[in-house]
Amino acid sequence: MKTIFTLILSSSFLHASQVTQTGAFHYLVDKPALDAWQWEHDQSTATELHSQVLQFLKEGKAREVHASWAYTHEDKSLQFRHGTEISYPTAYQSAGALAWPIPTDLENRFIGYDLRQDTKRCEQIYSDMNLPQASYYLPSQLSAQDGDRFIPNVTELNHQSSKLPNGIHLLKQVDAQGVNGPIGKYHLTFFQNSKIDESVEKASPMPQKYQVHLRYIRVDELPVKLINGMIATDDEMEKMLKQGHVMEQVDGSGSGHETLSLNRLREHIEPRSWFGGYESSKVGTREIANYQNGEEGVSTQEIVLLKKNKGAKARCLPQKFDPVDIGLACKITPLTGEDAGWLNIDFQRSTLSKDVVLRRVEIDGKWEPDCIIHDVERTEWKCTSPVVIGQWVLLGAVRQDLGDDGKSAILACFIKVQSL
Amino acid sequence: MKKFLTAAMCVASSCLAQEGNPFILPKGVQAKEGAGIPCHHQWKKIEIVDEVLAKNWKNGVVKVTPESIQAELENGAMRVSRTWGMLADVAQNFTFENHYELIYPAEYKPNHLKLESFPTAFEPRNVGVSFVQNFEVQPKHWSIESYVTEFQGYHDYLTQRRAGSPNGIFMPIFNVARSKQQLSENAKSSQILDLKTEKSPATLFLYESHPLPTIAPSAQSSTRFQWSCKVLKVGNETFWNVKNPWTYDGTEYQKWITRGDAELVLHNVGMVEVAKRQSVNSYSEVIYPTEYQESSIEYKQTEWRKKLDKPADGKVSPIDHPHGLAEAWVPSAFEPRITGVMVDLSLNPLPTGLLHLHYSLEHVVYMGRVPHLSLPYQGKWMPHITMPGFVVTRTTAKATIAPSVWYVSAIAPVITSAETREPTHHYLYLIQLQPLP
Repeated sequence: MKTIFTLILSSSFLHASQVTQTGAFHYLVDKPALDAWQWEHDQSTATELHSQVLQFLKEGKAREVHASWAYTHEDKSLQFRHGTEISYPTAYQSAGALAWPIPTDLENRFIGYDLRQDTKRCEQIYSDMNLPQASYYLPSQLSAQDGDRFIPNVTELNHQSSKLPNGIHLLKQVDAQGVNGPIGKYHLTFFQNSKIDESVEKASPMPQKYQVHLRYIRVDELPVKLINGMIATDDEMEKMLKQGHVMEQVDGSGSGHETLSLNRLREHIEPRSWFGGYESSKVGTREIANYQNGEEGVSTQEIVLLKKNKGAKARCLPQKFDPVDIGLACKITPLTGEDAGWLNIDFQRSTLSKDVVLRRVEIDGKWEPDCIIHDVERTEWKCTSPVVIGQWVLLGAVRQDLGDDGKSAILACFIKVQSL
Repeated sequence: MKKFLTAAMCVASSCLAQEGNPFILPKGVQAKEGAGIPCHHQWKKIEIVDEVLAKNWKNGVVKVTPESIQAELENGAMRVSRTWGMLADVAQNFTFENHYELIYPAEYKPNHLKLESFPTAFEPRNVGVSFVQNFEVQPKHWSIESYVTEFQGYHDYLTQRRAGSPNGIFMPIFNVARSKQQLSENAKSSQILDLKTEKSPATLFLYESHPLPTIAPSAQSSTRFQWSCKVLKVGNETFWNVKNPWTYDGTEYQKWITRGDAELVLHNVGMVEVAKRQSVNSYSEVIYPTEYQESSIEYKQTEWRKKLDKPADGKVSPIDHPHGLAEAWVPSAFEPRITGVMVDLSLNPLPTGLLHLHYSLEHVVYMGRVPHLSLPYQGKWMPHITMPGFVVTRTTAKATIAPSVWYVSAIAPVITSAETREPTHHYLYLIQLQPLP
């Protein structure tokens, strides 16, 4: 009797509520082209401006830096983060004649997109780091290589407002800054809210015992029908994967309304400060297991003998460490009462970046990396998603700009619930 | 050591005959918040170029009025060297600042090698102008407070510091002029501030205020608006020749750009809502060292002494220096500074369809690192101890404006260094609030 009542309640509510799709788009547009257009179209709407930017994309006068789609119950909150948690030095100490100084303290900062929306508020922060930043130390200036990190310049675009109505909105247009000032381009960030009916029509109540499949995939492109409809069948998923691959997959089973945690994490130890200096001599090598971008591999490490010394050849030793959880973590909570038929989802995925060099030492006339850290690349969705039995429901997707060659890739997260 | 020359003040009360009195509200208009008359306030720095006039001016013989200044400007005996301006309602408080943030050495440690001494402490000082208008209801009066700081000697100092000269000690001479003018309700006055020194030509500051023409607002109203701020860099020839840049529309500015007479430096757009205090910012953080630590300096000096025993031509010249250089001075503390355009505003629609805008606009430009100690490396003098320079333009005001119309919210000269005497361009800060559906 209780089950029947729940079914009736959830079905009626599902038809009353809808899913809100929130799109975030970021473009870099050539300044002269946009200036000319905007002087002529002084009173243009966000829709007209966005159409023009898409036209600039076709003409090669603009570049899409980021596009993302996230989905949630229209009356629930949404959080989305995609970017890199970087670390950079905030204090140094001298390491001797003509040597790079030793970083003694690091600060963390999130660089990327951070979007929060609830029934009342809408917030978006985009921050970017300009590299390489000039070092204030002469030896570093003279021997730094591309990508070596000193104290960075950070650009931040913030938007805060009431919840935005359906439609496309221009959140920001600002001059893009490089290390040496404006680069002749504009950052344009757009935000779009729209309703999705299809997913709710296919939605069903949460079974008492269920199995959950979570897939984080990387593909060249997602079908527009899927982005605007949220639902994919097994066949459609297989078809998509022919032009991509699964990056992470976890499965689990649960019952009732208990929170289900699906984790696939490993703890990575990162150095946070160093002391020096030691001169090293190589006495051998060893192979160690290593992970990068979620893929397992083997790297070769030198075994060195250290002798206390000062100067350009003196290496540093890590002094303090911090653990970092890397991998996939997801909490799924079936909702009850009038929200039955919906899942609260807290999805987080992180990977380690490639090596970031904070300090170099001179070995045999070459400046070799000494203090190395790693950034953590994060993608997170916190949302409320409808239950659709036996089909893949899109939680969110991010299209990443892979560089100046115009290539891009989409990272997407799906969930499938099956009744047991 | 600081040396100040205090300038004399000279005030003349008069009014340009053809202008309405900017300090008096028209009949039937109340000076209350949200029902103001927008007005542009302008300050001109005027230099006396005629030798006879300048001589008389220095002796305090010549009395000038805004009318006589206008006449002298037209016959070439005086010229405008720079202009500042801002948009604010009549009878409302406002502030305007435009300055170079100078950070200069205030203490030195002697160098026993007869080379440049080491700066060990720094002091900040704003070099430029600030103007404040205060409006008091009881007793009813307006006051304009002006504060101008200029200084000399920086260029020579920097030249010496870049080349490691022992004479590179900064002895700034700051010329400071302050005035506070009280203007009664019936006053018909523009304001003159005199800044003259023994070395610089006679200079005065002329203040003018002009109400903007009435603009009928569009019928469209909204609770959300798109804020746009454009920073135009306009060449002086164009700027001086335009009749009134405050009243132009967007297409006129575009013509300047097309002709190459102006450049759109920054364009900042964001969404704002009515009846809320909010920010539209576009900025970057510059993190720079604020303190330096000395280490192993004795070792460094020993090396230097050995090299300098027999200078080839008797002059100090850069010498390759294999030891000690890197550890001589190490930055030990850093501070972030936000650069870009920061706008803080609250917006209230009026029953007339106009908008009451209470805003502050700040434009910070990073001018790069100024070397205060250079050391030789591979035959070149490399900057070693540096401090940043920033140029700041900041306005705070209340203004009643029409939606979808471009307004010049501020004018400031383009300063390229702490000692810019003849700016070649001026910045125009254009703002617009466009209703969103």
